[in-house]
Amino acid sequence: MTIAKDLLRILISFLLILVLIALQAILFLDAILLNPISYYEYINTPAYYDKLKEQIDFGLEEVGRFTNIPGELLTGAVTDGEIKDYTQTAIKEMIAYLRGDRQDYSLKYDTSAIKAKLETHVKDYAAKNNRPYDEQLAAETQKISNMAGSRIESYAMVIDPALLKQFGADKKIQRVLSKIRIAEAGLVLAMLLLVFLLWLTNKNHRMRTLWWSGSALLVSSIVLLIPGIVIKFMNVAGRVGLTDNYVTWVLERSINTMLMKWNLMQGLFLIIGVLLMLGYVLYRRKQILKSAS
Amino acid sequence: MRKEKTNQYDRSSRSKRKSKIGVLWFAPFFLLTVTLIVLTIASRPYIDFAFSMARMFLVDERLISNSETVTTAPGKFPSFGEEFGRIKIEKIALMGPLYQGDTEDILGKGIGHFYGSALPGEGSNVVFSAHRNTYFGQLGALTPGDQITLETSGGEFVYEMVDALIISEYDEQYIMPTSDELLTLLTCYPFDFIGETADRYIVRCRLISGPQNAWGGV
Repeated sequence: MTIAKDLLRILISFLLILVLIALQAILFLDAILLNPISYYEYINTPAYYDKLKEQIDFGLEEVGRFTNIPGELLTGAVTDGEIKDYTQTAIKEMIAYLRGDRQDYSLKYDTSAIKAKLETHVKDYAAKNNRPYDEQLAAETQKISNMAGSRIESYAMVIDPALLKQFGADKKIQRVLSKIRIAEAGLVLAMLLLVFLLWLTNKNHRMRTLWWSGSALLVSSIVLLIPGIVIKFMNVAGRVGLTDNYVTWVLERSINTMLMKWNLMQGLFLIIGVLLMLGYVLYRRKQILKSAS
Repeated sequence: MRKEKTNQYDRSSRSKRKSKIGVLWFAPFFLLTVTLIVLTIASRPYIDFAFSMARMFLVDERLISNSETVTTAPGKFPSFGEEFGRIKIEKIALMGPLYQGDTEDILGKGIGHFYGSALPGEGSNVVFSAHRNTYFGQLGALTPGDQITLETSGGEFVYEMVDALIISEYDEQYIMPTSDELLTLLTCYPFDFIGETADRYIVRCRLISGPQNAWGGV
């Protein structure tokens, strides 16, 4: 009978481990990976921002080369503050969109400053060529400012929203990520139910539930720490790309930071598990000492 | 009936407690082993997939690209992105670097050789393009008979302008291979138009002189 009871406890603990693995992974996804704050710091890091600005300047000069506009006119119309503000808002909006909190992602870079500079330039060009600033030139001005705006929009985001929408990946991601909170609630309920079952199977020694629950948390944390340590050991972050541009820079740093946060989070859960087990050991020791005296 | 407390009971109780403690200590190790085995078996296809993706995408050594230009050694066939020569057109005071390939990155630096076309001296259509506001802005000033010189890693080639044409951006017949050597210089048209242009200006030239078998028969 005792063996049967122990087997039952082991089975419940095993189920609890599976539930905890899923819960810990989802908590990381929800609280860290899909948290805009995790990405804000990069915008204000000069090593990243300089690379991003360089890429934006290159993109705007490219627009200039294609449309016969001096590149410096376009690059000069974009300020650091505007790029940083836009990037920060874009990250926030993009994550909200992917999580299904927004129905659509339609954030656009405000091109009014670019358009104003372009208009002045094109009017000068028209005057030099003895022609009026007509509808055709106004339309070209609008088109060029739109091209410049879309370049900034795509460079500001490492993941291009337009590309995601093209392949319908956005809706698929939304379908999964919009259920995160429900999944969390479900897993918490399952966890409580399994702890309750452990409590029932230890009716003569209720405090032993601490040991079993702690063991489950310890095991789930170790299991989740293994891939984190393997990825760290493989130096995935340092080997993500061939070129040292702003995308690989942010990818490398993000992978490193996320890995560190992942390992820290699982380490924290591991400590909680050990403390629960230690709690039971101390309680039992106290009981034994009390009965001995 | 109440059981009396005896030494035997104590021994039995102690052994039970020892066995219980044994199970408790054993449980975490057992659970860890079982979980690792179960998860490894269950996620084996995903682990294999992850490792094969890692092998495919991860580079063995961190290679950092720099903005330095790689120049083709004399007599060598130029690889993509390499600077392999210069163009000289005295009439319009043009001297610019020639690159293999015509990506936007390359066109930002100089004159790009259309990768699908022949190299100078190969006896077919040799196509070079550049932006109208960088190197090819004055192509319109060329007239038939003007000389164009290409100094390349395969030798120096001299061409003479034959004619110029304005074509649609979708007209691909002028970049197709030809039976005789032809140099085609291509840029956007109108030259000073503000905005994206729908036309292209091409200058066609015939070969006057150049080395034989310049690229070693590649």
